[in-house]
Amino acid sequence: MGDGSISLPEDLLGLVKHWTAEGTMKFRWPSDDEGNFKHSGDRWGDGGVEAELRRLNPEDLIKAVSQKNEGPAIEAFAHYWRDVPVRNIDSLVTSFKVVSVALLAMNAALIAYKNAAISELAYLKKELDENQKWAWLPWSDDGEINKRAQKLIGFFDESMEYHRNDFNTTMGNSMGVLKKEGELYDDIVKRFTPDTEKTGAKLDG
Amino acid sequence: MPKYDQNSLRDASGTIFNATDETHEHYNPAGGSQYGSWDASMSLPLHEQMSLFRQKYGEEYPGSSRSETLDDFKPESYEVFLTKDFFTTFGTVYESAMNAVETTVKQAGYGAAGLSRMADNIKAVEDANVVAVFDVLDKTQNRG
Repeated sequence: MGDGSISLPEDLLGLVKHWTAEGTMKFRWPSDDEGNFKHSGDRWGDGGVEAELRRLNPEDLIKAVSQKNEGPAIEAFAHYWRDVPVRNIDSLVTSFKVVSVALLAMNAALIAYKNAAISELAYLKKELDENQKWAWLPWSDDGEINKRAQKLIGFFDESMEYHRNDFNTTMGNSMGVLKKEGELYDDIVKRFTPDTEKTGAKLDG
Repeated sequence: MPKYDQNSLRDASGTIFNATDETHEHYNPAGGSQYGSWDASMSLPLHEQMSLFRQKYGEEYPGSSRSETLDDFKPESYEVFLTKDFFTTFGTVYESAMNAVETTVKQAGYGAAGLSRMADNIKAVEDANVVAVFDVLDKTQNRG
């Protein structure tokens, strides 16, 4: 699970619930857990994942194979080993770090968006409270008060639109990064066909 | 007489085989990875998890119908799941990444199998069949 999530303070949550149910407010509070992005980003980029992949290529032992043995099969192995598994391991290690950055960027963008929403909502609440202050007076104009409230919420929604656009830009960039890394993974996988599997199995015999 | 050292061949193949076993176990999506975050579902609210990974994770919810389960975990009316598009992409890329790791594990396994064969038989270091197999694998799986 995630490392924690920013939640909306109770009074602001009440405000959002009221005005979204009422239909005036377009804004919706994100149910996304930014902590999960941090956790996931840390894992994709941490040394444990890299070490695990690197263990597939014990460099010292492979070097010893080349130094202590001779023969065309040793040479063929060395070429294959360098061109295929080692190259893929290196590419995957680098790529997973890139994915990690994309996930951490999402974590930062979500935090920024949620914090902006909390700040804007706190300001909106203050303005709405102020607007409502004289509503109890017998001569107050309820229609006018409601109109002003709608206008304030309209300003708030407009402001949140800008923040949402910033968030969407980051999300678009991160998705672009993921898609690009996905091309690498697909490129690795597409070469592994039933034919190559059959060929590789011959080495077990 | 070619240079031949059985121990170096055996050590390398044994170490690679051990690593392939561990990696396969850890990264297999169905295997319950020690890296919790490698499970793409971990960052998803359950209703999204079920939408995107229904085929894969459906078995975890025996007897439940899709609509009933999804309805239980829908966001509230005042909430929005902002990162839905991201996770659609992430889900696909995650699957590809796991497949790429699995492919690389198998490729390393072929190398280990070749070394093991050479460790078992001194003649294998000059075996034309071993050479041919590595050449074909290099040609077909090399990304250029």
